Amino acid sequence: MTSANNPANSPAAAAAVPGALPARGLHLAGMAMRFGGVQVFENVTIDVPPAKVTACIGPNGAGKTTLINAVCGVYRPYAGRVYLDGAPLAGIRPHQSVRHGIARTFQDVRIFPHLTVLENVLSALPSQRGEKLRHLFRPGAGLAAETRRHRDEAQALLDSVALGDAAQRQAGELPFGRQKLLSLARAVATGAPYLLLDEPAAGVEGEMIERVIALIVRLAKDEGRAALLIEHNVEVVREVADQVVVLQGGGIIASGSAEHVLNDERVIREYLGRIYHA
Amino acid sequence: MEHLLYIGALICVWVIVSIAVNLVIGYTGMMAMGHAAYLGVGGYTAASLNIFFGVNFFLAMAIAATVSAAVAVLTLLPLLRLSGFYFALATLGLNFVFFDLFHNLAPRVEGSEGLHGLKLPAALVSAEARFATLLAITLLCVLAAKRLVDSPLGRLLRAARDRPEAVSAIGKNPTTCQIVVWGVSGAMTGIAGALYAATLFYIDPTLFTLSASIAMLVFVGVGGLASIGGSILGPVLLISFTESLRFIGLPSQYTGPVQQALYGALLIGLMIFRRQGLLGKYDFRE
Repeated sequence: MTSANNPANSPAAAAAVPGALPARGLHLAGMAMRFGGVQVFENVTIDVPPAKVTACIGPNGAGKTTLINAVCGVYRPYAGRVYLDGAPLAGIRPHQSVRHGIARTFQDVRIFPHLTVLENVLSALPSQRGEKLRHLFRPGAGLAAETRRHRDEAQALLDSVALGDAAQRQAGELPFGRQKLLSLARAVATGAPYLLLDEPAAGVEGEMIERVIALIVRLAKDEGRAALLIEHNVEVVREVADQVVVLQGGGIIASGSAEHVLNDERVIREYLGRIYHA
Repeated sequence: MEHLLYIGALICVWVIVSIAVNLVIGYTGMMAMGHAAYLGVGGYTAASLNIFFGVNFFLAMAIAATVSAAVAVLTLLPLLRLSGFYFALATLGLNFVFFDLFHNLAPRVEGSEGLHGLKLPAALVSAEARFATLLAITLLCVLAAKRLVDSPLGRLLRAARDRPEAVSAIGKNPTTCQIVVWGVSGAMTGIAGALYAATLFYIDPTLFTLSASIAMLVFVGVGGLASIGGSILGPVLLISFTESLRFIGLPSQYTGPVQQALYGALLIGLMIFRRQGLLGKYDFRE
């Protein structure tokens, strides 16, 4: 799945032999990031196959969020490429990633606080003619019917994540756990088949964690969406991840099935041990 | 009565301007402090076309709206790399640049500093007809703005105001939203500029200075951010109040200073006790 050291999986190998790229899925090949003279990580290669949850774990500062930012076009990677279904994805700007099929969430939620919960989800639905000025003032544009359809769609999505009862509340008034759920629902509403989830369970407790887990599992198993999950909560990772990558010290130190990685001695010694003993 | 109708027409002009400014400040979070420039572009375009080329005033107004929108977008583009305080400061600069342009390059009627001698259609000639026409145009602008802010585009504007990076994350371009609404705001301000010329019968560069931009901010600040109702209430309240000073027997030399002092006190009070304005739905603190 991934390797920092295996030459067969190196970015050079991937670039030289396009056939080696997975035909489907999100493939990060030999990614490196630097800020000025500070290297965050290098030679990070990760496959995110469809309908699977790939977890990326590691200590704070390992560059997990930076990796998401590099995939989405917020940062330009110092080296490496992103491939989507075998085709390179280069030079995209952040708002273009959804068009290519990649949506993300943020660690610190970043919902739209002055919009209602329903409006937060509505805003993420793709291809809305009412977002174009030229349609707004054209009689017979059928906007009312489109609006009704979108509202039903957004309400159904909220109902499915148990936020339906809060649809008309201002999003900024929701408790943090429900805001997390809302940010997930918003990413789902984009329709993107690849989701980059930045710590969806951080700061969430009890029943809300169960809901987050259920949603991620449902997205992968029932809807066939792929997720690259960044998470510190190892129990959540254990519950949802099909495969795990550990990012530490500027590179990947382990990767494989969740069972294998979470029991890896080096991973326990260098990362998980610190969490368990914290 | 004629004076009251004149005041009514003036209020209509400022209501349109306040709506235009509120679209960018209140709904989109772009601190616009130079809309007097677009008001001037609208006024000068419509008046020049009408006076020197005999273009029907309403057609000239439509052209003025288009020109103002284009000027607004062109002046916005280099400012898009700025935000917050720096963006506000840069838009402030528009007042000075455009004042100089109006002063040195804008056409003028011989023997005056500005433009007069508009050939107005019947709907704008008498005070009654003019007020009714301006009221109708203002109503159209209100309805258009309401349609915009209640639409999915309006929702995106409010989202981009609060979290532009999250708007990008859902696949929408916040910069495009900003450019579009700035253009709409410029067009509306251009319409107001044309109607301002038709109401005053005379325009010169002194009408389109920093003071006019400050007045717009005061109307929006008092009426309320992100509120079409507030954009109407601000000018209605403040212009009526100013004009009422004339009727209480205050000597004319004191009217100006008293008005300024009361505006200032009102603003200070509002900023302390109700920052979002009287009918506002948004507070920059949040």
